[in-house]
Amino acid sequence: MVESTAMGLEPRRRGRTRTRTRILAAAIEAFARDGFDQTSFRGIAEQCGLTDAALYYYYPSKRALLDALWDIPRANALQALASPELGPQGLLALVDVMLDVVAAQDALIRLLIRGVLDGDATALALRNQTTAYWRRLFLPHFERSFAREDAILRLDAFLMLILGITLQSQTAHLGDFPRLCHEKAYRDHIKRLVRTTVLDTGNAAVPAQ
Amino acid sequence: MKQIADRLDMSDPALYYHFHSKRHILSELMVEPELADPGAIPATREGVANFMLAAFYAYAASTDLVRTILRQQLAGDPKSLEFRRQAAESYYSTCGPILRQLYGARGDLIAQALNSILVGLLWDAVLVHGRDLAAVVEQGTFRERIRGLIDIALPLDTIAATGAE
Repeated sequence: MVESTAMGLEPRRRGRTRTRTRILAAAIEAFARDGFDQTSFRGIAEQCGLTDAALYYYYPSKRALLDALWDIPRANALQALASPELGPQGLLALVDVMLDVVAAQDALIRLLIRGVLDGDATALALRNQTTAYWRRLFLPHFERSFAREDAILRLDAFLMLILGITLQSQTAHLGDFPRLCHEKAYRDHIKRLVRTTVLDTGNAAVPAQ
Repeated sequence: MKQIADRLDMSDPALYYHFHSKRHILSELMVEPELADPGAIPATREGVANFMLAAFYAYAASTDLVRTILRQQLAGDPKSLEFRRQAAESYYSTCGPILRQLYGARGDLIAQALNSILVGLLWDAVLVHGRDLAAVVEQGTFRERIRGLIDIALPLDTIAATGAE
């Protein structure tokens, strides 16, 4: 009895997951065409071939849709990591999480940056929210190893370093960036840069990597 | 082209007399700001730090250039990517040898980290502040921030400071 219920539910749940995936993909297309500010809830529903009410069942607002676009890759990447130990080791493990997320959100990040350059208020708000998220996630790791003020500055340098590297790769490897971002050599190189600068105490001679 | 001509109170043909296409205008815009003569940079940690600070300000003062290049790079425009390649090349040939001299085997990694941190900061600042960038970077707090980031990229334990690599 229990088994048959489970079997009856599973396909339906899978169907709902598929619909959600389809909605999110359609939403990205709509945002790409019309910008974040200009895209309406109804426009997204039309893009998915759904009625407003049907879309509402999955996502009650444009805001909820945008949040899902950002949060799902983040949640998936974080789930793979059991609570990381505070300090440099945990921090380097989180770099992998961050790169997973950046790879998964490649198209969305490009859209967002173009939106911000065009003065799209929704895009700017989303970007600020994302930056604040990473800041909160990484700060305890820096505070574990450095005094408060130093930790904040090092965190800033760290985030600028990752932004500088990934955005340079994203534009130089148009379309191919997610694959590059998953390469071990690419990640190891980024971690080496992090260790050599933002995690370096600079007081004692550090052996060359 | 029409929009640009309108903005200038010019006729289209008058604008075409000076620039044959939108692409032509863009390529003329993408000119690296004038930076210090590489030969004049003291081969010290302080010398590199000051050069990078000045380079950052030269770019930040050209807000429209930075915005245009970022936008074109996102669109995959080869000219803008070539611009960046050349800017990176001139940076590495200027600062690379000094940083290798200062940090030995770590020099190349430090050169890359320093460049990436400042590129990231420039892009972040242009996204956050938009057209106000040139004014914002003149504020004392912003100057302190850049200086702090450069200090983190350039560890204090140079070969000269520790006497050994």
